[in-house]
Amino acid sequence: MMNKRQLSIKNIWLICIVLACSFNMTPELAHTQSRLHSPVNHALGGGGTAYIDSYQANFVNPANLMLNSGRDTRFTIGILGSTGGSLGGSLANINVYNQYLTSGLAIQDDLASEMLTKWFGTADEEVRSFGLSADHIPLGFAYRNEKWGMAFAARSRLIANASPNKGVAELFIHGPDPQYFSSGKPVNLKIESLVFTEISFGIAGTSSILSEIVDSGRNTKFYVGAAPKLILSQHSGKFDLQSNLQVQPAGTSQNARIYHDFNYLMEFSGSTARQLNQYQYDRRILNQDVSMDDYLEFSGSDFYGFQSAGFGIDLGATVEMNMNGILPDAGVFRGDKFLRISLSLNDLGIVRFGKNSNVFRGSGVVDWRGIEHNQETIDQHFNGDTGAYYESVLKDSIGSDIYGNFRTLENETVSRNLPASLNAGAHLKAGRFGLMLDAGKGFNNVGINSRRIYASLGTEYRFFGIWPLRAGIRTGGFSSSSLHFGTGLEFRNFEFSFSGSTVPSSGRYGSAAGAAWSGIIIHF
Amino acid sequence: MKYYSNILLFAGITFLFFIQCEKPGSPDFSLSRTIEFPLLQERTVSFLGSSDALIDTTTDSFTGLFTLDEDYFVTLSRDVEFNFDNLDHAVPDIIFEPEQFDAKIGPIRIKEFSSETPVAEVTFEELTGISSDSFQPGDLIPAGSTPVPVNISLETDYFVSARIIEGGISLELTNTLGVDISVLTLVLNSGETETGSVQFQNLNHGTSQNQTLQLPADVILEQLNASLTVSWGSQELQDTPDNFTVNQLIGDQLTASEIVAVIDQQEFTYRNQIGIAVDEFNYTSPEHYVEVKSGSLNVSEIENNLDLDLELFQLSFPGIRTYPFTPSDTLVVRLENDHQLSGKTLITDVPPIDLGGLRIYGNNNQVEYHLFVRTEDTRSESAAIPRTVNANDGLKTAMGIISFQMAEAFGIVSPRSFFLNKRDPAGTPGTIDLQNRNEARVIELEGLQDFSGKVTGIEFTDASITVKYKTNIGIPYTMIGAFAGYTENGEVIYLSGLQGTQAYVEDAGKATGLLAGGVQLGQSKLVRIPVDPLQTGQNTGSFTFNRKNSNVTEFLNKVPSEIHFIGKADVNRDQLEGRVQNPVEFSPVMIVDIPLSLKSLDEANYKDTFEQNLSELPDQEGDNQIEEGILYIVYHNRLPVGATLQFNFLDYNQNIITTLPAIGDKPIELSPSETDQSGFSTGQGFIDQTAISLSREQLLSLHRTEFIQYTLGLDSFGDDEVRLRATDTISFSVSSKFILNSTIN
Repeated sequence: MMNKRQLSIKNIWLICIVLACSFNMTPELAHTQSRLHSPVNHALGGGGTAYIDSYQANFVNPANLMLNSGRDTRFTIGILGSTGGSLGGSLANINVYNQYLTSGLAIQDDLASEMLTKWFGTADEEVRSFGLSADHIPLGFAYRNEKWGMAFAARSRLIANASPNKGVAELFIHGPDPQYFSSGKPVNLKIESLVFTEISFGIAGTSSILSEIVDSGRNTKFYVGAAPKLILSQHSGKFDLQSNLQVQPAGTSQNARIYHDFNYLMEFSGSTARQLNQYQYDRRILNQDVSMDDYLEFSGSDFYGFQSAGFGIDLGATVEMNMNGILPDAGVFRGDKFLRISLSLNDLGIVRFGKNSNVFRGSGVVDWRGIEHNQETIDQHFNGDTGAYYESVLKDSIGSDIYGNFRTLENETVSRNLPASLNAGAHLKAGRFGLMLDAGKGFNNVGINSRRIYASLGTEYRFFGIWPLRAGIRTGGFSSSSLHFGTGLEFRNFEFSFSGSTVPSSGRYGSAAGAAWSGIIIHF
Repeated sequence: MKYYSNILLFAGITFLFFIQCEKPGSPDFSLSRTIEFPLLQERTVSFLGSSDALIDTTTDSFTGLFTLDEDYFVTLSRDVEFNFDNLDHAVPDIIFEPEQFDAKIGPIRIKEFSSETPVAEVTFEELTGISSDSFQPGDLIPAGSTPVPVNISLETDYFVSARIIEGGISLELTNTLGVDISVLTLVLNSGETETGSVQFQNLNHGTSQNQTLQLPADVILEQLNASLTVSWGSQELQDTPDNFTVNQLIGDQLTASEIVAVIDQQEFTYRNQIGIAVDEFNYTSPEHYVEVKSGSLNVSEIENNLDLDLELFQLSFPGIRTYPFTPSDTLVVRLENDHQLSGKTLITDVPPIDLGGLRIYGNNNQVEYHLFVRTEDTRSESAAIPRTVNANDGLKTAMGIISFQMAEAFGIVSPRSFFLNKRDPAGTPGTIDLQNRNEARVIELEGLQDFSGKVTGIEFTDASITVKYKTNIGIPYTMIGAFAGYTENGEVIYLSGLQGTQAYVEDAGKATGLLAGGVQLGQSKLVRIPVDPLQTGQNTGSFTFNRKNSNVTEFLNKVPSEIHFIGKADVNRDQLEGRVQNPVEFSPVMIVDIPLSLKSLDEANYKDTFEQNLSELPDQEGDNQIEEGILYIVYHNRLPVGATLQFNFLDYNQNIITTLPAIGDKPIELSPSETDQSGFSTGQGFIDQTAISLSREQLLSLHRTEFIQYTLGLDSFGDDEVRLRATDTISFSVSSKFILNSTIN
């Protein structure tokens, strides 16, 4: 026989599992976000809108700077760096991968088409993505009291993704085979990367007016907060190719033909932008016979050097309701009880790169019917070496003159939107047990941010009051539903934690993985 | 315990979550990609052209190999010079006979006998026997005559003696006696011998008269004196009597065969000819000549028997002329002044006279020369000394034309026959052997060598060999010779003239000594090349072996890479007038013309091997393997010739690795264009696609390839003759299709 408290725990877990399974069955309803990869919110399925406090709240919900203001420690400092990240996406479809690419199958003909349909769908335009989002908070500081709270934090972020369409995959699997490309197919590929650093200053306070409106502030507290941030841009890279490829076979009276109608956009910052700009200037303006290889030289400063500055802001509001007396006070639920409901707007702002960046656009049509044999050119410029001439045609004429024939868009600089999102969350705490539910929607598709709604459900139990075990489920986003787990040690004046996540089944929208650790957080 | 159970429950659920998580397995799959890629755009190449043509005629081996007519019809043409070593025999040896002559002075002319005048005087009393003192002017002198002939001595300081051949002595007398003489008789005595007399009529006072006393032949004159007898009529003495004088003695056409005297200047001449041998060259016209390249006229000795110095010794040769070779440009040799010949001397140091650049005319093979001699005038000497000169005295001279080399001869060169090739001393005397590379002229047909040995079964229908020559030999002659063609396969074929044509050697005897492997060549292996510059009036000419006069088509269809030639020259058999120069220039060029009009292509093949290392191609060890490779060639052939291709890929030891197309595969064919009645492509051409397919096994074995051998089986649209033009083109585009297997594990 189970007692009442045991039944409650089981019911809660059952609710969690049922919710998780229901989200897993309807993944298109929920997607992830990329606000912060702290081990706590990562372990809770990427949520934490109503849970994350102290200086990390600057990046999740600044109103949460007021959370736990009743504790006897008012200051929090994070050292050694909180680091976390997630990667994956619909392109990382381990399910299809394991089914077709790990058992020695010959991927060709119908089997190849079947695999690609499962991976990319039926439409040629279908796009699958692989994203990466990582951040690192080397330093954070927070202070709170009953009336207000403030925090300062610096965060470095890396956001990247690659999004090929089905045509790219078909080209990889089949090659330029007229059987598949005779009528023309879109071959699109988008690759982006973004590195920047945020210096965030958050402040929050209690909205006594709203609190009074609700219930005279006796059982309900209403917090609001804002965290403006200085955005120091470091690196931006973007390549966005849109093209259509047609391959016609050789006939009895005509040669084979490859027709590639393409246009692409490139955005780069730092030395890469300058090198590409110089290349296109020498080639297009000065009409010099140059090779791009002679211009591109990697520079590490493109990733750590600051290029320009921009501004952003995170906003949030949290309602904290006292649930003592409402929920049963027994078993694992014994102790303080409250329900927090939060709403936040995150990553509102633009990463600007200013004059240290360039936007390039190239377009053209490759109507390739073979090398045009020009004996006069071979004799005069290649000393009769036909092979060298052919190599030059392929490398220079096709490579540089057509595909490399991009131009700098004058007066255009690179500006990248932050992965802005709207998030809502709830946190029910009952003694050592906690349950979190979050949902949100991105305003753009930067990194692993998505315009589509995501949902996450997480739970926490604190053993001995210092050992939290956290688990969560996130469904949607850039991958299939993922499972999250985290733990750590949280003492009165000291804590650290870590988390990990993975996807149980990537068959529909791909796999993902993530991890985070908190560094050392000190309260005093 | 309840805490632990909760922990276990939480941990268990978490564990279950994670163990069911997907984990990617190790990749293990293979891909079969098809890569179809256009390699070469449509490229149109003409049959002939520069580097952008099917055959690059600008390469060294093909330079000048192809010629075109106005229709761009192509002729494979190779010019090869084949000079001869032994043409000096065409130059006739001109041999001038040595000449000696004895030029005599002949009758010696006598003019003056004395340097003084008068040569004698007689007084009135001596002549009349009357004392002049008895009479005064106006006195009457009775008629009378000289009682006794008066002998007077004649003053002849120039003259000692002479044997007279003919002529007389002119006597001039002056009468200053004061009386007129009716008749005067003068008897001239040689010593005491009367040699003759002369009468003067009416020799009046104060006048002079001349009379010539003719002397009898062969009379000897010496110690001259005269006897005078006069008669006069009665008359008054006209003046005081003075002497009667003999003013002078002058020879009148007086010559002597021998004389001792102070001789005045004598002149005599001599003319004769220098003979030229008629063995090799004949002058039959005054226009014929030999121009001297080098040589000299050498007067080896002159012996002057005269007791007289020779003021002038002049030899002139009307037949030896300097430029511009007119008769007035005669060569004249003079010895005079400081070089004059002294009397009674023999000289042998006359400098030779260079004849270089001169022409020697010698009608009937005789070179005429004239001698003119003028002696000294001994009277001019301060102390005149009588000389003794005999009419038979004179000059003995020896001369000749030595070290002669001919530059040019115009006349009739005597017929001759000689080998054109230089004989190998180790060979059989009197023969030239075609197989002896030291004797035969070996002609390598560059360019054709590339085809020889690679081509079989081709029949050129209108091939020819033209021997085109430039020569300075202006006389007709004939070359009798043998052309033996050697193919790369060692096959030998002879060019032979067809009977009844100019190229046929009618008289096999003229080829005596022309051997092949020690065996005398017969008529079927000989050709005749007439060389007759007189026909063209130019110094160039040609003779063509074509299918009408020879088996040249069969000869060249073997595509010989090397031709051996031996021959003889039969010069001026008809003894026609002509011109020969030294050195002899005879620069024959063999022009092999093979118009690309082809027939019977069904049997024709072109086979070649070139080096090609394909070691970079994948082998069986690689992850990526080409399962199949196909080259698609879309062509538009406007050539009247098509081809079926076969490739053999060979390893280092030239063993076959694989063959394309494989047995049972579709042949690789390029169909020919349709032709018109003349055999030219109609220009519409033939459009089709052919494919070269390689299986996986073939592809995997290709990396061992070191050589590629290909065979073109030629083909034409019909059975008729086809003709290739330089402007015929073939267009083709190439694309590739590779099925690439990749294994990833």
